[in-house]
Amino acid sequence: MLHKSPVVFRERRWGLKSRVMIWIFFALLTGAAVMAILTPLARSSVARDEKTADLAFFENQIVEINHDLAQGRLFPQDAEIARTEAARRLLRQQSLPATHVAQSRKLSLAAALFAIVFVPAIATGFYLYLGNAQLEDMPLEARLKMAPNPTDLAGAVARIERHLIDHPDDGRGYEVVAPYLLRTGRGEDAVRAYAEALRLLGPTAARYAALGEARTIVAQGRVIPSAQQDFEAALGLDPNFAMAHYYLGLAAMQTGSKDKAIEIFTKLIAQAPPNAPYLEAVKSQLDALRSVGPADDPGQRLAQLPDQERAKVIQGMVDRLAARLAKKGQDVEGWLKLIRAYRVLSENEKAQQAIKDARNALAGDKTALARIDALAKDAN
Amino acid sequence: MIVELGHFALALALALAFAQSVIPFIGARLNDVALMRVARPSAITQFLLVALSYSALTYAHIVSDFSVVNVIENSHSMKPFIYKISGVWGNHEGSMLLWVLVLAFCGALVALFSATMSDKLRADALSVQGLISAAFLLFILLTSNPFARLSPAPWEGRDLNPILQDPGLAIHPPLLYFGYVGFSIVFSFAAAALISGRIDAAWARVVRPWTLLAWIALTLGIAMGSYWAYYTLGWGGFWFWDPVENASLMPWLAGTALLHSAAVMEKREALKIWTLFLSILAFSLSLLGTFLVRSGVLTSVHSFASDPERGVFILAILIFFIGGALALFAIRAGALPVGGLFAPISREGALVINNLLLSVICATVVVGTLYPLALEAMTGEKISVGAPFFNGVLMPIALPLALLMPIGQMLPWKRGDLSAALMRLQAAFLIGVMALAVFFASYGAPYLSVITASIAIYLIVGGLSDLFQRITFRLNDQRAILKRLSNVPLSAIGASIAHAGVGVTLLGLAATGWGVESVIAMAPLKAYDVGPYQLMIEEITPRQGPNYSEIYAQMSIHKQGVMLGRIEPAKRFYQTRKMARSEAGILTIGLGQIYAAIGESHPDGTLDARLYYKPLVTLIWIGALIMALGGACSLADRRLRIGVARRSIALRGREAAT
Repeated sequence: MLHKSPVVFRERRWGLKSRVMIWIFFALLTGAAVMAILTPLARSSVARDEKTADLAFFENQIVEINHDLAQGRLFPQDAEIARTEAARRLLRQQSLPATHVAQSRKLSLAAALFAIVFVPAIATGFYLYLGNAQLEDMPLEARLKMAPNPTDLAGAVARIERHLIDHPDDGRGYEVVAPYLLRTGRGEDAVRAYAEALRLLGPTAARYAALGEARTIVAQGRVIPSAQQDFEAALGLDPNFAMAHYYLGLAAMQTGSKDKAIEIFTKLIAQAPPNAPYLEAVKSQLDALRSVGPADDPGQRLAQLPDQERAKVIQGMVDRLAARLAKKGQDVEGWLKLIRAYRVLSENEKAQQAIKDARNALAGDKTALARIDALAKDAN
Repeated sequence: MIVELGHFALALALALAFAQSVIPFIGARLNDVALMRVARPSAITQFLLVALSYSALTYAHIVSDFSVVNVIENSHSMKPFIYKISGVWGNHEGSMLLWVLVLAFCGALVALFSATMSDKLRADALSVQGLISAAFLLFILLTSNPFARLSPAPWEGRDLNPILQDPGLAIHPPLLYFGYVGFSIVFSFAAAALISGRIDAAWARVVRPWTLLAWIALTLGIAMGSYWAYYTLGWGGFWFWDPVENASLMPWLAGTALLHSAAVMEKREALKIWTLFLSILAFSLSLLGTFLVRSGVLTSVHSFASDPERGVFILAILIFFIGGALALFAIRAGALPVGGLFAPISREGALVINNLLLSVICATVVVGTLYPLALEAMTGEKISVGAPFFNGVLMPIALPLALLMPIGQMLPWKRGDLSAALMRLQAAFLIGVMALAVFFASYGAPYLSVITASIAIYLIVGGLSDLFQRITFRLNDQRAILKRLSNVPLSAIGASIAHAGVGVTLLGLAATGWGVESVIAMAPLKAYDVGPYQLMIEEITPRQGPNYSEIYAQMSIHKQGVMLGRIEPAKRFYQTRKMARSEAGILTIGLGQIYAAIGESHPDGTLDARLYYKPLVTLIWIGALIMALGGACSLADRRLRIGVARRSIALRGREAAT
């Protein structure tokens, strides 16, 4: 957001003294600019009118011809012709009436007044409209050296990243920034950071699994072979590492090995402590696998359709959702789903419209609005 | 503070530019010398303010001040230092600021070096210049403000478009802008002449260095851009008839015509109307180019962002200046005093033909560029007008023009003798025909290349013939050569060199017909034939750059078992923008080049590659350098000259013998 609104961080703001200072600089600049206009107005000068300038030019031309002749660059006949031509031009100039050029006090005064009023007014007007006099310079190095703001996670990560450039052997640093990078859409950087942490700090099941998960996220949810290898390596170090099992189950599901997936998930549930946080997710995956055969899985069926038809089906689903929300707008999940769907379909205008509609429909529900806003911001 | 100071300086420059356009103009109409004299200091101060503003933006880029939106969007803390500086103009806002900086710089130069000018001419010209500045400053402040801020500031920027992270960016845009803006000065002088109704040899003398400077800068800028495209785009091509390229070619063509026309005006006071018209045209086409590139009408690497508001704004500027100038031209041109008379067969006559042919070429390029855009806007139909159209239409005009160029050089002013001029070109014709035979015997096909190449040879010899004959005519004493050479006006030497440069470029272009291209999947350690050479991949390796990672293939080039050198074509990936670009591997052998660009690698270890052998290809750019050198020679000629009807040297020779 470009803005002229108050600034968030205290230390970014100017003290009163510097704020006065910058306007003094502005005033000095303006004064210099106005003086540039006033100086010639105040001085009395003799004009060099066109006739004088042109006569001087043609006289110079004749001098040049004589010079060339003396140097032997021109044949005498040619020099004669050239001289005649130049003289003819000179005479023509002389016969022209001279324009009367003068200097009027009154006009100078009017122009000076115009400059004194107009120049500062235009400059200040535009600047006040566009400028941010309250913002100071923020060179990156200086910001990095400043005392970190505890709520500014991005700043902390930037500092660590900077530190890692100078100390590329600091495995801890990579381990700390990696999850943040993954969350802020810098998946490839996260993968690299996880890999570096693994290399520098030594292999553990958790590190392998985190790397595999990052690879999976970068691959948009597909457990790609390199990720699978990571999860298998994790299980090699800790055969009971639940997350690795879960992703391998997912991999089996994605490659169509339904039975293998069911086996992995069932085992995972059996071994899980009763209050394990992942239990819900695994159970629902398992239910999905058991209840519908591959042919009946709506996702699967959709995936098997030809491109055009699939687009049509998806469009139909989105349209139905939009219609439902237009009638009954209290459904936050529905709105979020719709906005995401429009984004995936690259229909940004509709997404924007949906955000607006959602805000209207959910006005009053603060938590719902916050979620919508978070999603809206996410894309921008 | 520095950033905001730069922002304020920009607003102040706008106010001053307005004052610069109003006060001297009123002074010139009321014949008030004090008001007219306001032009000089305000032009200089305006330049200082824009320079301050530009420095502030550069500072923000260098220190990675991510509170400036322009820095966020186009920089990265890890970007190499040189690209932090050139990156300032590697984006829409910054490049417009550079435009205005060059504009203000040229205005300041006019103000500083105009002691011999009449007050009125200077006042009018700087007033028009001030108005152009004001229009663009307004455009920058209202639609493309480089000083927009963001708070809280992010910690990292989005990096510069990888294609622009190249030394080419440091040279190409400033040169082009110098060219465009140089034409704006000529335009301002033309408008001043039309407003006051006075135009003569003195006017042409004032305009001459600007035309030449602009033309030299544009020539070099276009050549640089073309070479840049050649080595980064990885298609082995150097000119794609892309609308953006045409945008720079159009003012160049008009400017070339203007250059010749202005020479006639200075020496003979003829072709006044042509000169004025071409002055307006050259800058109008520069503006049109700016509009096409900056409005987002075209999507290309040059149009950094598309925004309809900007397009409409530039269109308004375009219509105001071009329309205003043409209206003024229509009203005033008829009233201008008639200049020197000349016979159809004379230097002047030849230059009129030159102007006509260049104008036709220019119009063709304009139509070829705008027609597809207009068609798409009206019917939505997309057509692409590319090389076949341009080559097909332009070659039949350009080749006769090339044939005429040396003849024009041989013709004297006012009235000439065609057969005498042709006599003096005997050697050039002879060598041209011999070249035809040699090229035909050694290459045979394609015919167009053979013909073009021999015309190019004729043009080189013919272009230099005039100079050669001037020096050696009836020479008895060999030591006198240097003295003779020093007696030849620099502008004549410049003309000969520039014409020869055109020939050199033409030869390079013709030779593209003899190049070899092969698109293959290369297996490592296996030699592939490209023309007379063999290329072999020695190894394929990844490498980490400051803000990119790359995979490069090390290739060795052999001829009959002798290794000539190694190249490292690479494919780079820029993490922040998630964009790839290729870096061609080029080895120059003599005047030709071996060119390799790599693509995808396959699981079986092979690597897609485009391999080219391009004989004489460097001549295309060497020719442009020679042209610019010719222009510089001509520019260095500060003397006043007058063109007279001169009996041809052949005639004089006979006379002296009797």
